[in-house]
Amino acid sequence: MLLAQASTSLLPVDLYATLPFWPLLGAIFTGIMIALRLKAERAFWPVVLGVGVSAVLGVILFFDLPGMLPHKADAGVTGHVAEAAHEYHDPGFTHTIYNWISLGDENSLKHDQWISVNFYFDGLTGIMIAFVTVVSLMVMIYSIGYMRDHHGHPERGYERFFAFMGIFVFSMAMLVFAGNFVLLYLGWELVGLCSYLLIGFYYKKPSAAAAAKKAFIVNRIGDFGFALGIFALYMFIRPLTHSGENPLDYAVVFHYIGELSQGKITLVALLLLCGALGKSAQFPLYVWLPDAMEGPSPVSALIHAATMVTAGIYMIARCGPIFAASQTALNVIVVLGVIGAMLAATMAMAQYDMKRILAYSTISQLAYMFVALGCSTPASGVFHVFTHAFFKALLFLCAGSIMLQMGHIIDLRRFSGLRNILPHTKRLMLIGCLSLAGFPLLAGFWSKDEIVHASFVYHPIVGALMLITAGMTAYYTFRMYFLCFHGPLRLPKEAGDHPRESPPVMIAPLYVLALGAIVAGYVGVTFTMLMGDSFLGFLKPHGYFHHYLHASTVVGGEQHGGGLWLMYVSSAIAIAGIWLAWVRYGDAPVEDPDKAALGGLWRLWNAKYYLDELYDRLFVRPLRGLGRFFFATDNNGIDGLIWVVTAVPRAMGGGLRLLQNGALQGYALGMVIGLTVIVLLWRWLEINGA
Amino acid sequence: MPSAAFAISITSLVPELILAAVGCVVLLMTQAKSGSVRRAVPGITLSGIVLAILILRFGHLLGISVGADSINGGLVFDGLAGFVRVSALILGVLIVLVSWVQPADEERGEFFSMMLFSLAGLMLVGPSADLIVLFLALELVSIPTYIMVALSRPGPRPLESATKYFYLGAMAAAITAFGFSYLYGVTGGAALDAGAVDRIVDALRDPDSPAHNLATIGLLLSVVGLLFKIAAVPLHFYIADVYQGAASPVAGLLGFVPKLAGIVAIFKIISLTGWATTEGALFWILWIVAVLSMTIGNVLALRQTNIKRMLAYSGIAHSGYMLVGILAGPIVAGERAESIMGDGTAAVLYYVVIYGIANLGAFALLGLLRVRGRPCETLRDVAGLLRYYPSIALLMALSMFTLMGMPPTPGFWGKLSIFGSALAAAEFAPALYHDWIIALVIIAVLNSALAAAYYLRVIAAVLLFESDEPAEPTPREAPMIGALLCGFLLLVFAFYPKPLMRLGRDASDRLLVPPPTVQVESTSAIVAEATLLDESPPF
Repeated sequence: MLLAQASTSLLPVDLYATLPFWPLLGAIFTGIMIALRLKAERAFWPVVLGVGVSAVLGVILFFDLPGMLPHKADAGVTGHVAEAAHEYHDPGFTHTIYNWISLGDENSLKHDQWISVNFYFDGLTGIMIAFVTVVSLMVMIYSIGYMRDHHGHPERGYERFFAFMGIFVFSMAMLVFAGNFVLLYLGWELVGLCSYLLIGFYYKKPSAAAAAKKAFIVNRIGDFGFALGIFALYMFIRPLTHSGENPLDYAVVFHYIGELSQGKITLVALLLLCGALGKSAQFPLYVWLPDAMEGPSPVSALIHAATMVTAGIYMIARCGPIFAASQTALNVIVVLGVIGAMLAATMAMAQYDMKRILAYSTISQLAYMFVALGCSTPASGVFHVFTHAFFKALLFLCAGSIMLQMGHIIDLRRFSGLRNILPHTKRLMLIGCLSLAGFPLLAGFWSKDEIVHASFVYHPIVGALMLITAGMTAYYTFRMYFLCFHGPLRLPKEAGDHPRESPPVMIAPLYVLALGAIVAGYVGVTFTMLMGDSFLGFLKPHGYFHHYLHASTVVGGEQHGGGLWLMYVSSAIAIAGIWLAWVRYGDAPVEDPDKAALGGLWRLWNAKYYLDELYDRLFVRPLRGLGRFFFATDNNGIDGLIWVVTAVPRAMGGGLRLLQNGALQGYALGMVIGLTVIVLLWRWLEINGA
Repeated sequence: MPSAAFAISITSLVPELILAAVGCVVLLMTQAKSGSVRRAVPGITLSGIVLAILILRFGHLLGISVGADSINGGLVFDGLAGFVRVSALILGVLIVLVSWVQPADEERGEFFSMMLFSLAGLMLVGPSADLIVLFLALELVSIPTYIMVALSRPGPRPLESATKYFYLGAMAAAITAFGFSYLYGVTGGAALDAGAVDRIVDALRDPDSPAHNLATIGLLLSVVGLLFKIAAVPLHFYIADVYQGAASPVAGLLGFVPKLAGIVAIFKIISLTGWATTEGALFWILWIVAVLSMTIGNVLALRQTNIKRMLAYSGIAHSGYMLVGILAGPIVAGERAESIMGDGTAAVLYYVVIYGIANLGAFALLGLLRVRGRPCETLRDVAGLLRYYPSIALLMALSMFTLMGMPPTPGFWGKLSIFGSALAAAEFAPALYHDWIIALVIIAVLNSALAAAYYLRVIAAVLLFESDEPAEPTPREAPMIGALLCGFLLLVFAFYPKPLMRLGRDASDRLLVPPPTVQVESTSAIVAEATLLDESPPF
């Protein structure tokens, strides 16, 4: 079966399977450069080249993949899976590299089952790997110029930064390629580790170290659930499998999931959801993401906006057959998504730190994707993941560019009117903001509108809340934009006398991302001549992207037709939001007009609903108390216990020492006593007929 | 006729003979006046081992049959023999590298010749299918190790350790020999073949037969005596003193060579019972020994701040885990579909090798480091290594994680397969034993958690703590290469454990099928004599 597919592909599958390892190789090279204490100046080369090779492979794979996948018609040939009487047809194929962990050996047992190192290829893989590698490459190139001090010399830890980023791209690619849950979990934890290391990149800064710890610990809570979910899957699925079917492979799990009871499926789905909530920073586990902005801006752009945080959405979309079978889990996802979207959007309206505003907006946009997943239109969610990656990475990198020129000041109250100093950044930021705000015809508009439409089909109230959030998004995005670029020129003293535009090595990749922020949406749109059935007369939602995703494990209800009126409404809302922001913040007032107008509500938003404080009271302090308790028990209790346990040998030793003059005889006596006890024990057992 | 048989056995023993011959050459080199000749000793030792590996692997191309699947003169070259020979030689390379510079120049020849003899002994334990050959091979493993401990470094400490080790070892060997003599009495011959298994099994099944007590006590004494080799309770007393007294690389060797020899010998003895380990008196004895070994080893290790002593005590605990796998036996769950891993002995073999590599790696790193000119031993000595010597610190952490059984290190796969096979055995065992095996696994898992405490303490010291007076690595390439190779092998077996597990599986395959009885004229007289003995009551 595999051979037949390989013949129809442009490059051999084995070559595609090397994709994750190029950045790792680059990271290892950089590591060697660190070990040899070479000059930091060129440390980026191995990693950038490695990621470059991955990006090329990723893009080729994206176009190559549809031809490689098994066609619906000959799904019956794809082996054991289709033979059973179930409706599930494996839409992709699993490429096994080697067998890793034995779950029963073919020699001794009937079961030839393994946890393999295998990659799963389907439409979702193609989409994810293409944008992950391309965006990564752009961010890497940007970082070459960004991770420097104001003299243009590499910052301290320049090499370390690139090594970690290389490992991150490797881990993310592994996460996307993984063909079974164990490998998925491995990639999942590795990206978490990279995130931790990179948030704490400036580890000498206490706030950065604390943020890194917070991110890691909050993610542990989610990952605990995720791990339990995988255990549960193994427990439920394994008894159903036959020899030759690895019980944690996607293909096998999705094949048998229908045979489980509703309760078991819901349990698995909710446990897996825990992991997604942590990794994708959703309510109630979102608290780590705003703090994660302590890391360098390229890290925020790549890991905490474009790629890693979408892993949760990826995972739920990947597990489509599991989630689709549990309406309860889907409802939970919708509720959490709506709460998260509104909560984060309102918090974003009352912040001054640019990167934090973007972080809250990321949480809010991720919540949109969650709502899409919950409304049984996961394809729309993945579409938003795709477009969001471009414009959010663009926005973060623009913020980084501003931050670099403002002497690492990012507080919107400290500067304004930068339009003439940073012309390129301003233009790029405008594109990013428009796309995020859902301005018609830009990338963000198409994907967000699909989600809003799906939520209206799900329930009108959910749809209305999504629309309101969309308006807020447009408003806070442009509040940030106007405060930054409009009004009179004001500079912080940290910026020096002559701040100037960032170097081309930083600006050039931004133009690529900006292009993506404009046109990425058209992958999911069809051009049409039918006037009555289309937006503005020639555009119709649902396009190539969705057809591409058909051949994937992303299952759910089809996007319903109609809803064109909604596109006009949401366009109007987006423009209204931008207009309102223009009216209130167009000249970048020093006194915040909202602060006065909204009063208590604004203060509540500004203080993030006091949720951090609440968590501190509810969880952090009790846990710290518990920690102290354990520490005390360890110091007194356990040591005491050990003292008691060792008292017997000590007493014995003491007793023996009285009898003996030296250790040797004591040891020999001990051996003989032991032997005697064993023989006596045997006699006793014989007599008692054991 | 005898000459033909003799020829076969000689060619199949070529790898062992190479080691012995190189050992003799190296021993003679001690007498050389020139220092440069003496300095060549480790290199010659290493090339001898490499040559043995090449012969073992490619000998058939030269027409040298190294004894694949052949039986002659008390030796059976089956999968188990292959496993022992390969792992002994590969670990041998690591051991030579690690102890490259160990003893003073004058004693280097003796030291390395003893190492070669010991390795040759280990390689003979694998194929031995005869009580006498087995005993001789075991002593060939042990006696050189006593000398190595004494020679490993200057001063009175190693001499004291070696003396203790020697006397206690001699006592344990006496216990084993005593047990062997009983077995000889029951089976009527020294051969460990199908006939012997039949006799022992018959004797064990029938409590009223005169041979019953003889067989049981023979088995018990043999196994208990062998517990010394693997340092399990109650024959564990020597281990901490010996490890501490010996130089670090020798302590690393002691964690593998005698342990594998002991484990394989125990396999061979228990094979005589037809692997009915999950029933009868032997079950309870092994159960108690396993629990006590794990618990006592871990509790003692928990209190140590001296890393060498800690590793010594933890070695007792690891022997306890291995005994769990021995209790599970080979391929217990042949027909069971629900088991995770059904092969306890294969798991144990895998685990011995992994433990050997990790332990050797840890000791090699300790041996590399010096604090104010003296060897590095305590937690305080290794504190803050990460800052100054990151590669040493990371290798140390890798070794400790493996010993601890942290996934995905190979130590975890080893523990997983051992405990998994024990659970499979529980499914298969009679009702009474079922719960006790489950309890044993629970105790073993709890013990693993307990062990994590002291391994993590080393990792924390190495990676997290600061030190005003960090240890200095001695600038020695060979031991560093050895340590790096240990780390490399651990990584390979972490992500690709299949080949080693497969080797272990092949080794364990034959344990349930004893070699057929070969009727040789010279032994038939003994058999006749023994049948007479059988008829008269022993007590």
